[in-house]
Amino acid sequence: MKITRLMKSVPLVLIAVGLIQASALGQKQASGARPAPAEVQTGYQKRLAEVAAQYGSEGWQASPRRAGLPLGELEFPGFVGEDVYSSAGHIERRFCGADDLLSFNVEAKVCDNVPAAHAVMLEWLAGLSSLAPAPSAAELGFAVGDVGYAGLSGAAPGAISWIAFSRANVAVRVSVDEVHAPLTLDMQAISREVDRQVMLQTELGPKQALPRPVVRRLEVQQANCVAGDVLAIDLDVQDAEGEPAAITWTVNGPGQGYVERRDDGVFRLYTTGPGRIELSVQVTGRLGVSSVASLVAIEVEDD
Amino acid sequence: MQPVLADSSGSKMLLLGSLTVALSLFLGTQLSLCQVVSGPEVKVPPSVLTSGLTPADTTRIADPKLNGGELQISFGLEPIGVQKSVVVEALQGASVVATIFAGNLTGSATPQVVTWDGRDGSNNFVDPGEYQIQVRLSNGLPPALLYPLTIVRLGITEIEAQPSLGSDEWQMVYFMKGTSYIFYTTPAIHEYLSVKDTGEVSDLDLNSGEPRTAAGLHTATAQPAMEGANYEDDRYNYPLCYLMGRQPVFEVTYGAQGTSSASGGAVSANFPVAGFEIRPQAQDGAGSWTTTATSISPGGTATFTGPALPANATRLERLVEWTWQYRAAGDVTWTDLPGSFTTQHRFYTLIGAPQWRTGASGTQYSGPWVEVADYVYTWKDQLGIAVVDQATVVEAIFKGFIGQHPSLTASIEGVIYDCYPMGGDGGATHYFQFSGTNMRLSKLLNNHALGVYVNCSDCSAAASAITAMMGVQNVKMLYLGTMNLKAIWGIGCPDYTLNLWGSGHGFSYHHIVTRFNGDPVCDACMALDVDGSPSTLPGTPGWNCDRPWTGTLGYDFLSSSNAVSRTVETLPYIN
Repeated sequence: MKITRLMKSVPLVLIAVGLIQASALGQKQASGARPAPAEVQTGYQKRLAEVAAQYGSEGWQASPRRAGLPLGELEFPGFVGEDVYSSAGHIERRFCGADDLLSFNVEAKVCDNVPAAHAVMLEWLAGLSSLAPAPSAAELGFAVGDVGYAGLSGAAPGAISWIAFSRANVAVRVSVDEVHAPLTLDMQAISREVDRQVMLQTELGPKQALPRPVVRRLEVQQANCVAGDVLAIDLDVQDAEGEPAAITWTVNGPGQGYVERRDDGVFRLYTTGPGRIELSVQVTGRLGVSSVASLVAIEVEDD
Repeated sequence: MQPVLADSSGSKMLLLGSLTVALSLFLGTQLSLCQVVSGPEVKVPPSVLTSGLTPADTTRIADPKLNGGELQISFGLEPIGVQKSVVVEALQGASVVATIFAGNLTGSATPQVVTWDGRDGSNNFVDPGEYQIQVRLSNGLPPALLYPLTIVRLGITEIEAQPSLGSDEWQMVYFMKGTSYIFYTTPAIHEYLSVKDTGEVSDLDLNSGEPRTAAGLHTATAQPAMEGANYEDDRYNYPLCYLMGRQPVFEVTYGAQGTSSASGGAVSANFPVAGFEIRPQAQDGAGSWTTTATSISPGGTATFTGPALPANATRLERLVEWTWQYRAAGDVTWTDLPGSFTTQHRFYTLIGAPQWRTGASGTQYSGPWVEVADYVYTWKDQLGIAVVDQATVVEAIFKGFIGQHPSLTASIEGVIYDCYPMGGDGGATHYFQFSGTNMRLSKLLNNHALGVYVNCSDCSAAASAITAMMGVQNVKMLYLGTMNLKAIWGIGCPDYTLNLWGSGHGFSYHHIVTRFNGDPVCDACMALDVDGSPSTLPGTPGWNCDRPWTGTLGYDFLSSSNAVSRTVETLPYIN
């Protein structure tokens, strides 16, 4: 264990927080942050337009914006929720039955506005390979969200495999994991509970920003080190809504390492390969909105 | 360098070549003489002595904690046929630390050989240090033999795989930590590590003084070595990844300390040994590893180059046997130090450098994923494909991914095409996210954590990422427009169908893969019918590995009855 190298520390060096976007304290919304190259989506964009027309998305209802979805706090009797997973601006959480044979996944994206949430809905619907459109919740005789659609399962007549809906600025998709799950799970009830949780959140005014967590400080102990060194990270996050749902670290190379928080609660960067490291952290707030902050560079020399 | 013969009264006889000279010496002079007259080996024709003990080849430097590290003590007993009671002991100073042998021996023309495992009377390994091996007759006559012996502690604590020629060596990636999806790159500073944990005394030995065994191969493919809830940080042995045909290069770090069996404290490795050189050696089943290192030091390193890896993409394991030799300063001949330390290493070989989505960054792009490399190894073996170039990698991956081949039992992770007759829901994406062009590959590889059903985008994104990761260049997703399908065999489905949805047979869109900008193409989620009647059943499997777009065996004709639009996209991001 080379953690003892911490003790030879040089004076603390504060590393500037890299501003990924021109916003205060080096934050940005993590959602779909990567710009799509121009050549990528011509065929797909055409399909999106077709799907928008097919499902009449211009007529979809739009409730006033809500502060988000506390996905990490959702509870479903008989199911254990795993950790909230956040990627590409989406938040996900899997719920497993006690025997681990039955499970479902809740995926959501808390958007800045209602059209963005509708766009996520369209992406899910555009990803449907079959020629027949998905039936709406209303067509199936239930209500969820401002607008909702379902994927009927081949497991049994009337069984539902997934339900996608948008409520205000939040897009949600609930889906089963296994072949026989639609026969047992009440997908409508699950979806309605998620919808209810969205509606329980604060209604936002027209110009009110989403409750985004704030990374107030991101510093490491040293700007230079030798591969194998362990550097303490000072992370200070403020989420006005409560405890963040997820903190995700990314170590960008060519230098290598990983971040781990051990029993003392301190995040540490364990360097494992030489080169320049850009360390970034994505903090997903309690209500599903993310911020990203990065350290400009840590130079890791070969051991 | 000469050995010493000593009689029970303290008189010494110094052997000079074939001459024996009796010297009566005081004790202080004896010690001085013993230090001076040391040598790695002693070869004296037994005939020079009229009776009694004669010296023979005996280990001069040893580490009994190595595998097979027992040291060898040889001596002649004459005349032939004589019965003598012989005692062989290990001395430290004037103290006997171990009685190695005591019993009757019969004189013979060949040397007597006794081995010692380096343990004392309490069955503890003796500490590194200076010793003497005494061979004597129990009646005290004739003079005893005294062999100088240096006990050292040799061993390896770290091995770092390094490139051999340009960028031909890569770290590998794991994607799970417990139940969480967290990426981990095998440490570039040492893929093999075996050092003391918190509370332990030394890197080379356990606290009992017994030698620390080599770290076993980490064979799990999703999660790295763990120590409770944390990443293991003192003992692991991760797989290595090289370009096929290249020679692996290892930088080896030698341990500096062992642990005393007797006291439980740390003890020095006790080398270099004054007046001697010690050099490292290595070999495996494919041949010798070369090194320019002519000496080693505790905590120091030596670099070895191994025999070339196979000239194809595969997985293999090698047992590397690390050994040492010594010689007295000025001598020409090296003597093998008894025993060895063996480490096992798993290699994955690639046909080329891993390829990623342009602009992608993050730990998941640090190198090929272990689970992916292992899948490809399994597929190519089960399919009997010699993976030697990009085309054969593509063939192994796309046939293996879909799994519909007599030698395979299932698709990747057992996934099923998302269609109603199979219990699915009409072809929704479950793993691919159009927003951000993102493939949740880790969730797919974690026993299809987002469900057993997949659609074409899931398969296209996963297969393209896997193919590029394994070194195939210019791999891209290919977006197809609406298709009126002919006979197809969907991934995870039992047979060909002309009614994919149970109430229709077409795609609103389709996602496949190309590495030639749209022609030829690869399809990871369905096989086409190549029996000459692609619109009727039954079907004859037509795998889509670099299938031309046009022609009667082209993808366009075999898959659909309408003109299908194509849009070349990019590789997906992966997480």
